[in-house]
Order: sequence, then structure tokens, then C-alpha cells
Amino acid sequence: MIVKPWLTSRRVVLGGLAALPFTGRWSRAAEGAPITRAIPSTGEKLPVIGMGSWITFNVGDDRGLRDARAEVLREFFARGGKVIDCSPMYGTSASVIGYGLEKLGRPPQLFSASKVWTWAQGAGPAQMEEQREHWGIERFDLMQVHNLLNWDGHLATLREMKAAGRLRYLGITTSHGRRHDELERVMKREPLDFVQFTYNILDREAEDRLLPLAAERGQAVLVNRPFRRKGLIRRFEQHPLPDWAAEFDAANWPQFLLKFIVSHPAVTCAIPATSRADHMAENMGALYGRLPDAAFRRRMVAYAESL
Amino acid sequence: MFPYDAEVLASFYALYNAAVWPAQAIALALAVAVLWLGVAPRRGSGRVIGALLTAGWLWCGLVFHLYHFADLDFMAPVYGWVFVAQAALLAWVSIGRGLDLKFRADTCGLAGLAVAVVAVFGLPLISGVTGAGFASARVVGLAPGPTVLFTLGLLMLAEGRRRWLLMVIPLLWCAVAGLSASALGVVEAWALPILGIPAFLLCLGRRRPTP
Repeated sequence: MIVKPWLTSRRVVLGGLAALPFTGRWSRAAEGAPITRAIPSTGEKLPVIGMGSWITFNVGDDRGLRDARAEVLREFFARGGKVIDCSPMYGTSASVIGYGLEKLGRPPQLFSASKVWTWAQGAGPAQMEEQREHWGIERFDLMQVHNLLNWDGHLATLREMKAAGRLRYLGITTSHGRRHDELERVMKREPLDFVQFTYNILDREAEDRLLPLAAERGQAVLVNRPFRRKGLIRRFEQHPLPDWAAEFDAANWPQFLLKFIVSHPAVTCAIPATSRADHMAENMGALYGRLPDAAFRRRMVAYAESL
Repeated sequence: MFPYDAEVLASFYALYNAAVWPAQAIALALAVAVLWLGVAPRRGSGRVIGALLTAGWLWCGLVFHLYHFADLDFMAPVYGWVFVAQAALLAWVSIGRGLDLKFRADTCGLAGLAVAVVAVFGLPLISGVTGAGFASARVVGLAPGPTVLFTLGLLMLAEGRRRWLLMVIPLLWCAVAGLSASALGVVEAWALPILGIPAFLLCLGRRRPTP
């Protein structure tokens, strides 16, 4: 009989546990306090694992799929999550998040993050208001300019909104390693609370300039594409997790990959996306236990690149 | 990059089909009539077929893409207006002399007929047997894929230079469908590049009828 190690142990066990009531509360008690990082501009602490919603929450009007995503949210909050990131580019994701939040009784720990994504500066406020209504919240905690689209104009709007108390933080995003030069110029020039870009164990370009610059400028960092969507999981899950991963409490590949990201001192929060409650439970496991030190980080990279 | 997965797309089609019911019955009846007119053309057939194809593309552009699909996909408005543009081209041809339909039982003609039949009956059947179910079947005239394939099949039955112009957007959509099939694993989407592009190449090699 062929044993498939990636189908055993934690994924299966957590998948089963996720179905039990109060599992999250139990897990948090068992695993200790979540790892947090402070937002440099205020000192407010955030859990280092958040949640993205690209593709995974764009399920349209299907009631069954919406309920399934609400369970993903339930798992997220039960295991200590706060930061949820969305965008008007993500179709129905905002309304599906709003549906889930309503179903869960509007968890007070939510840290809401969305984006403005339109060429026209004048169309930005209406788009943000539409997003806010979909989420069913009073205001967003964080609003970001999506993919640097008309960043100059939208940042002016966001500064006004922040000054008026209609959002708490502002930021700017990119992904897939695109336009890092332009992002760097904006980070140097503008007073930003947050920046968001891609960083993972194989895409480490951000280590050279963006992450040190964010630390220097006091900008919180959200990390997208921690798994290259599903690419890194598919690539690594056929290989055994090294024994030494236990020394920083990584029990599976998702936790290994997430702990690599959030162990960088300049990273505030990684935002993996998933459509499954059992995978959410796996991801949120990275929020607890020890993080790899610099020596382990080098070893992690060497191992990942050798596979 | 598509902002949804195959499960969500199937769910979308099921809800869409429920929303537009019983348009499917009307669309299928009209498609069968078009097939019959295509194989046995008579006076004015080209105009009638052109007008019905125009209506199908207009529906897919306005109702499918701009009204329904735009909630799910940020590219839907672009797709919608491309479909409207194709409808305008078809209308222009139909208002003029109409499609020059002369069915010939040669390779191109038979292949065109087969492609059109697959668009009407094959694609819904594939949806039914590959797991998505008949509830989410793509119906010609109401959904982009079968409408594109049906149009290509009929254009293979036509003659004259204008058919090449009318093939540009359908062929581009075959490429989009191929990307969708590859990225999402949607089986029925493979039918467009697999049937549509070779059918076009087959037509390129068609000999002119000798007078």
C-alpha cells in the first residue's frame, strides 16, 4: 500500500476537528497566545495571519456556497483571525464576506481591509461606499489603492477620509512582483500606514528593498500570494515536511510556508486565501507557537529550492 | 486570470438558467430552425439567420455579460461590449444582402454543420455528463460558448468575403474559452478551441465552387 503523507495527519485531523463545535476556542487554548505584530503608525497589534478573498469568496448568489464561506470565516475568527482583505475587483467577494459576517453576528475583532480600484479619482468614493455597504460595516479599518491604479489621486481621497474619521489606515498594494520600482517610489514619498505586496519562500525579491524600506518608513506590511495561490502547496506537498520544522511548530506545508513569511521582522500579516474551513484551520495554525530564526529561515529556503 | 473557480461557474449557470427560463426552449427551437434553414436555404434565409444570430449575440452581450456575469467577473463588461460589436456586424450584414448561405456537402460544409449541431446539442450534453449537470447547461443564444460555436459552424456554410470578418470575434472567443478550459478545467469550454479553430482552418482551404 502506498502511503500518501500529505493526505494524512494534520490536514485530515483538522478537517475533522473543524466540524466540531467550539473547536477553535479549544485550539486557541491549547496552542497559547497568537503571534501579533504592531502597526508601526499606531502600535495597534494584529495577528500575523489574516485572510485574503481573491477567487475563494467570489461565489455569486449561491446560498450553499455562501454558507460554506461563512463557515470558513467562522473558523478564521475562532482561531484568532482578524484581518480580512478584499477588493472591488473580486466580484461578489465583498457581499459574500458581508453575508458571512452577518451570519456570525458581526465578530467585533474584525479588521476590515479593502481597496479602491478605478481609473477615475471621482469614482473612488462611490466604489468604496458600495464596498462598505456590502460588508455591512460602519467604516473600513484599512483602505488601499489597488495595484497602484491612479495612486496619486486616490491617496488624496484616502487622506481626506482618514482625516474625517471615515477610515483608520490607508495604504497601497501590488502583487505578483509587479511594479516594485514604482511602489518603492511611493513608499519613499507618501506617508502610508500599510503596503501590500507579494512575498513567499520562492518570491523573495521584496527582501532586497521593499521590506527594509517598509521597516525604515514605519509602514505595516500585508503579504499576498503566500502560496502563489495554490502553486506552492501543490509543488511541495508531494515532498516530506522536514523533521526540523517541528522546532518552530510547523506541522504541515501551509504552516511551514506561512511561518517563513511572518518570521521576517518587517512583515505585519500574511493573507492566504482559502475556500475550505479545514484549510483555514491549517493556515491559522501558523498563528501559534514558535517562529523560525534567521538560521532556520536560511535552511527553509535551501530546502524549498532543493525540491 | 479568472476570478472564480469551476464550481462557482457551474453554480452561476444554474442560477442564470433558472432566471431566464423558459428562454432555453425558445432558443433551442430557433436554433433548430436556423440549422434547417442553413442546410436547406431558401429565399431570405441568409437574412433570417443573420437576424437570429444578431439576437443571440446581443442577448449574450447585454443580458448574459453586462447584466448577470458582471457581478462575478470584472472582465464581463469588456466581453459584453465585444459581443454587442459582433451583433452589430451581424446586423450590418443582415440588413445588407444577408449571409450568403449555400450549403455544400463537402468537407467544410459537413464540418460546419457538425460544429453547429455540437453547439446546439453537444455542449448541453457535455455539461450534463461531466458533473456540472443539466441545470448549468450552456444553451445556444443564451450563453457565449455555444453561441460562438454555432455562429462559426453557420459561417462555414456561408460564402463570400464578409464571413471572414464575422469570424474574427468568434475565433478570439475560442481562445478565451481555451484559457478558461485550461485554467478552470471546464470540460465544455474545450469544445470551442478544439472544434472552432480547426473548423476555421478547414474553411481556409475550401475550394471555390466551379461555375
